[in-house]
Amino acid sequence: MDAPSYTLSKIAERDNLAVYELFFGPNHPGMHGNFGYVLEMIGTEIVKVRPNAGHLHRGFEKLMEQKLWVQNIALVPRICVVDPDPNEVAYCTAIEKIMGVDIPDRAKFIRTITLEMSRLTSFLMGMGALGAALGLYTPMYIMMADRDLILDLFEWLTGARIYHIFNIPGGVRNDLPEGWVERLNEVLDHLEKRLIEYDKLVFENPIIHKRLKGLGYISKEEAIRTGITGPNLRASGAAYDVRVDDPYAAYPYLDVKVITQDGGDALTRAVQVRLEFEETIKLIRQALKEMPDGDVRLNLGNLSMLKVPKGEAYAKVESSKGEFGYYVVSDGGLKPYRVGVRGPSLPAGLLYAQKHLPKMKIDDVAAWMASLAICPPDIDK
Amino acid sequence: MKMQKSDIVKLLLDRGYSVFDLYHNQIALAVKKENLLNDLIFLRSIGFEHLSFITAVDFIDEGEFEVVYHIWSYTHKVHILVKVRVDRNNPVVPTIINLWEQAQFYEQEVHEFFGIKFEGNNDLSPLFLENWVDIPPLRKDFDTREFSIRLYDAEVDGGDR
Amino acid sequence: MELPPAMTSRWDVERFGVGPMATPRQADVLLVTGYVSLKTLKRIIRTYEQMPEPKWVLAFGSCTVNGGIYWDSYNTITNLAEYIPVDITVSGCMPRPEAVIDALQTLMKMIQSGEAGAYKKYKENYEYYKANQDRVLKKTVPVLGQTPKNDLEGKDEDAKE
Repeated sequence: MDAPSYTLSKIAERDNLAVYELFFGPNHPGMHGNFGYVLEMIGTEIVKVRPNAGHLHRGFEKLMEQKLWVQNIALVPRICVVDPDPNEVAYCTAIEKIMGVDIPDRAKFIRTITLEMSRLTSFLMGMGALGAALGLYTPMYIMMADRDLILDLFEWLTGARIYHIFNIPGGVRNDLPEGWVERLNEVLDHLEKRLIEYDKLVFENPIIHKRLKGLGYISKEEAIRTGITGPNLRASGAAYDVRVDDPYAAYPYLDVKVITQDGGDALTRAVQVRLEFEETIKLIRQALKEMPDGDVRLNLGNLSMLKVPKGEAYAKVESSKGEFGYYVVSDGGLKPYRVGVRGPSLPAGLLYAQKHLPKMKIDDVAAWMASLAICPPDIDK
Repeated sequence: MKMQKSDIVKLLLDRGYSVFDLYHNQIALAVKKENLLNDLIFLRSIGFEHLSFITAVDFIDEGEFEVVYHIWSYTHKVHILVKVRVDRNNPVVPTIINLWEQAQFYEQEVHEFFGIKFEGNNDLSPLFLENWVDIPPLRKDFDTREFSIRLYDAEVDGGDR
Repeated sequence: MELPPAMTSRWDVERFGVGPMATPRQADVLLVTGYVSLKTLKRIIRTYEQMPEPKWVLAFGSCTVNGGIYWDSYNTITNLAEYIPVDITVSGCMPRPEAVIDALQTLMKMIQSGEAGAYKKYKENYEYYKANQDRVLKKTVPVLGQTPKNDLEGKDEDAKE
């Protein structure tokens, strides 16, 4: 990071170029969400970066201390809009850990199926955004239309397209309706046929290969040391997955394959999303086959008067971007004492911006952000 | 080489730490702030290499803040919560940015919301809030409903707009 | 977040003649979707003043009406119409893409019949809007009356007095 700015400053002095400040800010067509970087540039090369976060800060951790335990389930999916189910599952798992209860088996399988479907919607949006950052708009249009098929299934099951509020402490709200499983199998067959088109459009495209190769290299030791998790870590060669290391919901009964690659640059991460997409479809099919019968929720009494005993717990789940963690502290009352949220995009969005961007040109910043799956709402909370 | 959770608890008790056994793969450790850096270096050397995040809890009745460091080990599959208590009127904790680089941003966030100083960290400028002149917002004596009613004309039942 | 489905192939809004523009200097309509925090409010005012006339503003979501689910937050505003003039408001928490298309078509009808003229109000009542904007964005005294806890330098001053 010192070498490029030293030589560039020398060239700038000699040719009388000025260092100017550019707000690659919230109002930019290549920016994902409401987030900004303040870039100091010479020509089109970046010299220094300062993050400008806080446009999406709503004070969730303070709001959650003022509402009842069940009311927070309406607040929690709004922390990450693209992939809202892991938030609900992590919050409910932390409460169930403190209370010491175990949910019924059928509820575990339904939670797993909704989590994996939410992962599919997030991957579709991620692949579309990666193409749109480089000027390829067609995949964005088709993938958003395919994503709507899954959102229709969610609406049939829970009543809402995006913020489901479906998981409660003790299980899930209601059972699967008649005909839902057959429709889910039809949608999965349709998505598997579409993968061939996505391959031809995005992954076998020579422009994508040329622009993403070598961009943003992260080595395996560096990724573990700086807190990168999820598909980004597995694309650098480390075989760690929260579903295998610290299983929750129905993952102890299922057979999760951990896919790793060596490469560590943006092209490897894009291919990683494609490989995990196929694996997710296989997991949903396996969970549907092995789902037992039974209740879907425990009887914990009136949930508006739920009192959680004194204690604390940290629960984490594997979302499509990495490890999403919730640290819940309870003092035995009707409202939480403290809820701390660990968002998966903070190491990539704030720390790696200062490591990777000073060697790049401004044309590649949007593609770099899309390849690391940086989603600003979970940096700001 | 993978150790079971009971082996890790025994190793830490032998060295004189106070250990609380929470769940089947989570334990909590209470340390003093003078030994914080040495304790974290020791934990890192036995395999706890992933820092999840740093947060703080405000115990206003006891007059103390508690700073919590969440550390996970990929080889032993155990999660440790390292807790440090500081005085509420003069909260100062040593920084750990030389061990884990991402701690810079977590410490900036805790400083902005609680007012805890991290000595050794030169850049504790505000990250999320702009032009903030009240007390740090996540403390228990900051009433956010009163703030919203006074500054933004919020109405408690939604009003009739 | 329900704007991308409204703009792509399933509920295609481009067939009505509506499309996204890269800069505010070429746009006619400003869509404010969802809650507005203080940093975003500053950018929205600057964007609104950059647009050439005639211009219209559509506010989506319940958070622009009375604060929605974040009414008691210290960083989000509760009534967008106090800061910039708004033509049409669509309520809902994530209004559906069909509601987005309905709002755009209603706006087109209102423009034809001459009812949509909120941008003229901005120039006539400029002092009112500017007073609200400055009260929220530029704060010099604490809103709740509590001064921030003193840092170490402040403690020295107290000791001197």
